[in-house]
Amino acid sequence: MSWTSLRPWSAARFAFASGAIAGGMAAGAWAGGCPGDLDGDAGIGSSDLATLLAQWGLPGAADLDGDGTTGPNDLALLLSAWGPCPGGAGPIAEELAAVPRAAFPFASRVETFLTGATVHVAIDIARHPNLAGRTVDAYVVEDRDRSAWAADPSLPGAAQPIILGSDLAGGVRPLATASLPGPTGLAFSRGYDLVIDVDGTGTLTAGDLIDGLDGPGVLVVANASAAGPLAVNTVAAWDTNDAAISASFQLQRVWYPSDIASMGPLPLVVISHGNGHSYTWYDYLGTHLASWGYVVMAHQNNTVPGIETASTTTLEHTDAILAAPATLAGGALAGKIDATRIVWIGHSRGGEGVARAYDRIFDGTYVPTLYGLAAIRLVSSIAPTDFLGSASANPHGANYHLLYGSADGDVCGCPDSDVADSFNLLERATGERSSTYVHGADHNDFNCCGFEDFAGPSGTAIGRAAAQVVAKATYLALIRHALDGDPGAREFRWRPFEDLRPPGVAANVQATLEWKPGIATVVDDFQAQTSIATSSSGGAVTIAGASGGLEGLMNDNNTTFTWATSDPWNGMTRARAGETTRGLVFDWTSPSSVEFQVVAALRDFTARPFLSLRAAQGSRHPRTVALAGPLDFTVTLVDGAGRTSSLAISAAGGVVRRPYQRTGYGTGAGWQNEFATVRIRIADFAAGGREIDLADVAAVRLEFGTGAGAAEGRIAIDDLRIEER
Amino acid sequence: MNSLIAIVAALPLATVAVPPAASAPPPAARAAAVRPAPIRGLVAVRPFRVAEPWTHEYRADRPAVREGWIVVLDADPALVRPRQTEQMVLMGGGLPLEIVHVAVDAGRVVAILPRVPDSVAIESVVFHLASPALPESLSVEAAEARRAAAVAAGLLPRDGAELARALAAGGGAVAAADREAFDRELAAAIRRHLPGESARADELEGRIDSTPRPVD
Repeated sequence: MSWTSLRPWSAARFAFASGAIAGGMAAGAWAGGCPGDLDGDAGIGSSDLATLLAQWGLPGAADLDGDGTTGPNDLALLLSAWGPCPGGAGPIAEELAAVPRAAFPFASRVETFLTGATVHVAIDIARHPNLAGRTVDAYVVEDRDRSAWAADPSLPGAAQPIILGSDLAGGVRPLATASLPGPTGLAFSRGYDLVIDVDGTGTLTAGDLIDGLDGPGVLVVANASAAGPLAVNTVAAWDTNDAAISASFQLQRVWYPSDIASMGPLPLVVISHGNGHSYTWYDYLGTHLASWGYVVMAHQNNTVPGIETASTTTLEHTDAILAAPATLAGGALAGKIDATRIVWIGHSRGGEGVARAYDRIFDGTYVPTLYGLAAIRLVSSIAPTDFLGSASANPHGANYHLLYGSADGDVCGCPDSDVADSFNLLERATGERSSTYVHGADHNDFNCCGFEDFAGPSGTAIGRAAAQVVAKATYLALIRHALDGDPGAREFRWRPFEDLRPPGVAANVQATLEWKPGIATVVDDFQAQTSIATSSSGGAVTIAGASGGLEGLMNDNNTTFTWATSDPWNGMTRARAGETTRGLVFDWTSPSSVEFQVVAALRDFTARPFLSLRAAQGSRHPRTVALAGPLDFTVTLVDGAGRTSSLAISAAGGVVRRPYQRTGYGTGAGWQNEFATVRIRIADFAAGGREIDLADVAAVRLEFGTGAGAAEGRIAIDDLRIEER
Repeated sequence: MNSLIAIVAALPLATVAVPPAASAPPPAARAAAVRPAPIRGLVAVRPFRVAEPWTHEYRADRPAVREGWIVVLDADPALVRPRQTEQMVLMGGGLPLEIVHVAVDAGRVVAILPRVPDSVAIESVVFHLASPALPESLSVEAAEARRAAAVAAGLLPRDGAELARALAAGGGAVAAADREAFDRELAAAIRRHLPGESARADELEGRIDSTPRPVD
């Protein structure tokens, strides 16, 4: 059996203006098993000929040579390839599993689904015109790899007949997956393949569609906030008796699987508490993670003198537990902690302390005994302070995460103090990074016993229980992704919170996520090139219709959140003076746009699957106040031939929330500007037969105003990138 | 907001700066504008000496500690409640105290005032809460500037009678081999003067439960 992997950007009506192969078919100009296979049946036949003739004189999928119209040369090419696709026919691999959306492209193709969720299948009818209006059988089967499918192409279980429509929306249909078994044991995700048995043979054959030929197409994940399968032991207080550790700060609390004797070395999670907090305050997290197979240690943290001492205790306690002497749990952990897979989680001053600890190893000013920098696979700060600034409180290239509550009454994100601006640390991280901004959570919701510091509007507090459910789910998914590379955990870092809301978290709990994977092609990060008219990749940037356009440092320049034209970066608590975190701000009351010309070297958007940017509403700006809700806008790609394809970010699942309506620091309501990552599958711009050459994108245009999204608003934009999955 | 009201209410009027904004910022931010504040009382003072010194991590020069005083003092709870951001520094003269434990509701603090080369006699020490900083970042000069600011603000050493009572309450001088042994003396001070805070005393005495137990 042979296979055809239909790359998502090789959409049916896909014209390669610059990619045409002289005298031959344009690369990728096919819908099915080979070039010219317009109906996807793995061969060139009468149906394909009919499609070509129907498109005569027009651009489209039948424009096989990519010259802009369907004509005699295309006919000759098709006839020359008549018959089965070279190399034999095979199933067609493409992304099918999806969540539905209300507008074009009517679905977001994703991998991760909560146990019990409804998986939708999304078939682009324009790519598979042979399926329009048909009833086909869908199967969701246990994941098999390519060779396993070749050996056994049978489709077990009951077929799910789905009735397809004749347009893009009609290709999106729900499947009965509520009873699909989730993972068992310590597994976080369970893989399935989604198959459309086009010919109804009950086996995977040529012309069938499959999502999951190489790796699972559907990943059903565990309830990340629920306890794992393992019983847990705890040592309430272990005295390290380590003379290297500051006097009076030598105690640890440790959680580990009760049956650790039968298990191999387990990763270590270290929790470093904040000032006036206690190492005994994180039972909820220690127990949770240990039940999923981790050794968790919380230690006394020397935070009163400052961040340097706090970082020292983190560094030294990590060494102390890795030694796992007989005095700890009777030696039960000896040889059971993996010194190459360590996670540091710090809270408040401890949150800055873990970043400082990483920085000290990075700088070579501290050398651990039993581990090295490469062993620190993830650093996460819960509402960290920023006393030390970029020279010292710096995660560098660590895989870094920030958890923050919008109602924090201590490390408040206030405009008059850099020390209280947790997001400064996130902005300094140069590696893979993400953040979780939880509306209505306060500083001490993430421990058991800190004082009440809720500082948000009445009625918006989510409470300690809900905040800790969010924290448990966030950390398990985060750690599974960072340590294990679990593909099912990856989408927790960027999918809208509403998509993967942990069970048990009320529907009114909102969280905003940012994610910036380490590998990307940057169109504009607003840093390498400081002219507003030029992107960091060197292309022209044109702002039309908008007011107040400005590129600059994301640092509120006064001590209030009151909107003032003299403080265009109002609400930005992302940088200190002298740092480099920059972005673009503007507002509008009528249709407006910002267009980023794409330089020649970057025009092939098929190289990576996602277009990404981050956006935030401008807190307390009159346009934000008037909008009083989520902000929608449209992203348009313009190809080299001037053809365009647009989609609203909301239709890709993007959510740019109204700022949390916290008051204080001046007049009005609205707290710090709240960036959300918006990721759009690039292939979706070519969905439904839209004519756009994604291998030759000349410009990315963001469109605002009536017809494109919110009629008015104030927005900050940053990090326009083409990214890995 | 309640904490803010508590702070403002507790401070002498003359020591509170006018807030910059129409609406009130939280205490952490406000603290930066607060001038030196007095402590409310000196409860106990106990001289000590250790054979093996430890490092005082509460000033940038990191002096070695061989002797000093265990002090128990009362302060405005709102000013000594541990916070994450900028916080006033509890000082004895020109040296930030090592805070051993704070009974946050009562505002009672057990701390260590080392005797270092630039120390003055206990009778001359001005205990005060100085402008916010991380103690570890304070140079000798910066710490001295805070002491001078406290004096300039009219703060005085404790009077003789109060100091005499505190010394009597502290008990006689204590000698310990090292910090671990000295921790037991600190625990005793907590048990005596912060009777509701036994958990911290237990930790300092090594009265801990290190037996592995299943989590329910």
